[in-house]
Amino acid sequence: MLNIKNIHAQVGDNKILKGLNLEIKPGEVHAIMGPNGAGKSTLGNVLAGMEKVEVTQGSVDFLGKDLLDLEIEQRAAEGIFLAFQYPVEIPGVNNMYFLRAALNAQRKYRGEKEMNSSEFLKLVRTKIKQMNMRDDLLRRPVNEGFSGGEKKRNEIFQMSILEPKLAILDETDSGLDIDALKIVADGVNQLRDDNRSFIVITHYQRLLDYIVPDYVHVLADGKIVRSGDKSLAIELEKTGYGWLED
Amino acid sequence: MSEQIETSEQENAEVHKRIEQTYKDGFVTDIESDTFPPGLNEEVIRAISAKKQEPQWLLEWRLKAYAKWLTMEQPNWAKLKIPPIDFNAISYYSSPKSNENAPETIDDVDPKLLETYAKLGVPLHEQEILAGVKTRKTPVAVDVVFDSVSVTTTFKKELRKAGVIFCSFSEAVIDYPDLVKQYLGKVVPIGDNYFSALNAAVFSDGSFVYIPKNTRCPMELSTYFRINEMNTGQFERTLIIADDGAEVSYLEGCTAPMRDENQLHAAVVELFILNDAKIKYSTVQNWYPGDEEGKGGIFNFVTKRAACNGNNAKVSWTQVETGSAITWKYPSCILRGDNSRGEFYSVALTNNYQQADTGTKMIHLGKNTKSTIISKGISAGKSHNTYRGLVRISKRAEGARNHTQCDSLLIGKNCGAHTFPYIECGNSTAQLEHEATTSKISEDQLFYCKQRGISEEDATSMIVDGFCKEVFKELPMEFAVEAKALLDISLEGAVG
Amino acid sequence: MFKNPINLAFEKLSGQLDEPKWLQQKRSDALKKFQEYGLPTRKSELWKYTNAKKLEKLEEVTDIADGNDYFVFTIKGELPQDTLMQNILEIDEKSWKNIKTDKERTFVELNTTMLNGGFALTIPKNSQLKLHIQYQQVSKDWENIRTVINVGENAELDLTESYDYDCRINHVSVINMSTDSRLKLHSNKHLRKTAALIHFAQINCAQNVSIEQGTINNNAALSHSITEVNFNGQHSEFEAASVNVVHDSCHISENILVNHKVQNCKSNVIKRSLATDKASVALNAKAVVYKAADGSDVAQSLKNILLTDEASIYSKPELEINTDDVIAAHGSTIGELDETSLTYLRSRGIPKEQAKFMLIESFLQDANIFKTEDFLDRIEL
Repeated sequence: MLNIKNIHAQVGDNKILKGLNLEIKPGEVHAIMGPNGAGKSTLGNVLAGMEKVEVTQGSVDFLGKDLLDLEIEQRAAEGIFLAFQYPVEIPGVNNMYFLRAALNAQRKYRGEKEMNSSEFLKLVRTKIKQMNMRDDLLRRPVNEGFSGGEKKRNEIFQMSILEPKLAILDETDSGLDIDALKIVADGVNQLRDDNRSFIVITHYQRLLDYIVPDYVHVLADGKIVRSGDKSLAIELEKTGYGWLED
Repeated sequence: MSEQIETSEQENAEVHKRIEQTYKDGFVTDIESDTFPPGLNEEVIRAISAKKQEPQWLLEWRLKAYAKWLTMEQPNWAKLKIPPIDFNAISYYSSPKSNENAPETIDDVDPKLLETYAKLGVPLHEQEILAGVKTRKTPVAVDVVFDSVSVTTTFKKELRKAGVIFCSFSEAVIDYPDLVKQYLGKVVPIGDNYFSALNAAVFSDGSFVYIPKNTRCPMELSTYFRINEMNTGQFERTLIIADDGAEVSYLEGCTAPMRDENQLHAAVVELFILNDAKIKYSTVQNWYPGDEEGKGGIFNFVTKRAACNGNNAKVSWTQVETGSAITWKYPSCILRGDNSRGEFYSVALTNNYQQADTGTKMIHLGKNTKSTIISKGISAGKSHNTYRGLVRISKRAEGARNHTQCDSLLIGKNCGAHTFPYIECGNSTAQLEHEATTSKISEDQLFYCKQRGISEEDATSMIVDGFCKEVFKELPMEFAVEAKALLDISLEGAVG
Repeated sequence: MFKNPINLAFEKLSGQLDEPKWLQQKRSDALKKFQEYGLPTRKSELWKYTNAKKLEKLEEVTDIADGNDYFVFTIKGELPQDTLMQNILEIDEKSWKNIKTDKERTFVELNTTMLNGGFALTIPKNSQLKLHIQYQQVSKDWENIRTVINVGENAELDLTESYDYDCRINHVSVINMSTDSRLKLHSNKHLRKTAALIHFAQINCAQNVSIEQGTINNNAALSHSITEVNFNGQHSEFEAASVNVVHDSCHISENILVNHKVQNCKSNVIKRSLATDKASVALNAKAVVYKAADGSDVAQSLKNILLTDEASIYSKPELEINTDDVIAAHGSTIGELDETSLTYLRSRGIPKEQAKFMLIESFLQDANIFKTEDFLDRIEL
């Protein structure tokens, strides 16, 4: 579904990704781990299309399309979802309004019928129950005044409404207490199926107890230096990244 | 929760319906008018006064104002480029012929005029409005001003039952001369400024409201201003008096046809708020802004001032300014009564070659007076948008408080956003806070919206709406929808 | 002095002068301009809250310095080689730079007309200099002093300027900062309550210049300053912090205008003011971001405390922004001392007056840009 070949990317003059390769098949969950500054978040931003990240070499194929050729919102409509490490506050813009605008823009792009407000309301009600989240978040402006945990949960809720094909979770676990972590993981697990894939970027093995990955990769200095299964994460927890120095 | 969500969903649907066209109110009504030839002199003023069958004192007042105006110069302190205005090329009076024998009821009003207002979305048939109530619209009484005259005022009788006077200014002069005489020019004196002096000399109509003691006006009142005739100026005067313990919410809307020539609108609004009374005054200003090259559009030079003469009096100005080629307007509050409060909430959006210099004055005279200023400016295209405000705390205004927040948003590299606050304090127990920010829409916000699938244009309009939320929530519901739609229309072409 | 007498004063002056023609011409041109502008009125934005008429009714100067020097130089450490110093009245015509004036800057013209002292100083590149200049009152009349300082490439100047306690000085100063140069400017205006000081300063910055300015304005019958900073090269920074403290019937007007003419420059203006008795302070910070000056960063913070009802404060932070890629913010507050803090201190046993004093001190410390220990020592609080 996703095929990343030899990606080089930089922000300004700072070269961050230096020949990264990764292939993801439908239904797979890939965890990306690695030390600070290795380029983990940049990988997510490259896939989502952040403009200040410049791709200088390489290609990304997503479901048969050249992903790098698409606008940010086109990628979203094609099924890429990025759960932000730092979700952005948009003062004064109602969460519900925002989400329906997003969903309908995506549906329109895909030639699907736009959802009217009552259909949308029904969908929201079902999802919010499934996600075990409080509905007062919906009435508030997007992320404004949300606690760190609330912001992360809101990301997962948005994901459940938008039903992407590939979701990238950028350190969604950071700053969460164990209860919030379980809610987030539960939300992700509910969405797991044979056609939907995930890239889970994380520092800690802890999240992977709840979201069990098919593969674990270690990203260091802009490249994937090691890949394995879940046991790699457990090993890393014990050994840390010191071995990368050697 | 669901109800709120549904409401905002409905709102958005209406907004989308409204933004399908650009300046949708730019049509001309083909109607026969009685229009004075262009030119300004004493004779013209006498003629206006005669048309209105005014008492001698008012004619004298006008002539005094005219004499004063002749000695004055057009102000140039605002950050505006105003092309020279030929005051002799303007016609100072224009009235639809059919309106000559002042229509008694709505059925006597020229159908062409009714059609005009229907097209503008201003219903004038009381039955229709009342029928609309069932489908959740609250009734609003409206005085409609077409060029120089008031065409009709709805719900007059119902309001009269509650003791509320709501009529055209011309009628008030005849029917309630004592009230008019007592208040006219008392908060905006004739020589206050160049445009108010001109208005005092040539004003032709406007609305008059009196809310008696301890009365809460049973419905919202509004005036809809329309300029139709070529080469005419509109000079209306609004006078609202809220007696002790009275309360009223008043709305004002304005539109004009699309024309290549500039047209002048110089209005004066005076509000008087007595003990424990409240006035909420909302404006959605959508005069024709001119075209993309900056050709045409209305010059909107308006003086609005409220006197909180009583203790615990409260006045709140809310304005959404999206139209006009040039806006020069500073709705102000004189907080004379102890514990009186003044509020100013403003959204001003300029695009293309529009210019706006707007803000407020809060003059604190009484003890424990409070004022709040929230101003949101959005500049796009090649426009310039200025906030200019004055907060003055006099020596005896013990315990006065002011909070001011002015934010400006820039869209594009060729526009300007300027903030000129004047803060003057003469009392040591007063507390004032002023904060202002100027920035463009954050890249992070745009990226976030786009990642969720929303286009740049929609994301921008969404973020701008959010930016204005604090002001929109002060508007009555109907107006809030209108305002949001206007904002989106006005922003069109600004992104990309 | 300012109206008819100026003609006489000027005639008297030119009679005594043995000067090149071009300079005499400058003087008489300037006189014409000054008379055309007249004294500033309340209609002039930068004089809106200052009564210039007060300048005509000043008390006589009592402290007059010995000798004829309009200024005294104290150099700390070594004077760099190739430092150039010239009497302002002896520079050649092409070194003279005209300053653009308007009604607000009318006293610059007066300064040219009646110019009686000053210097042009050039500090060579890559050098460092620490300098203290004391401007002196040597007569009972107004002293019209002009100074021009050129700071060479990658040079560093640490300059302290102070004025005689009982002065009547009209000072025009121009500082030209070359690429990569740095300036620390301590401006100490501790003045007598009958003194008068009019100061126009222009600072021109080439690329990558860094300026820190710390100003203390303490009293004076009338002290009016206009500081104009021009960013002509990218990546320059200007940070200015001032303290204004006035008593009795003193009046201080402090105006700072920063012109962001090019991209990627940063300005930050901080003012902390305190007015008591019948005194008044008028503050203005204005930043203009020119079209295409992207990446500009502008901050203004003007905070004020009024201690009596007879005193007044006028605060005017202004932003004029003509491009979108900017960060600009300002804030201004006026108020009394914070009751809660005061109560807190008193509840810990600190007497009321002392508690007040402590709060005032901490308020003013915000503007202690050089973090000096004796920052508040010389201010009459």
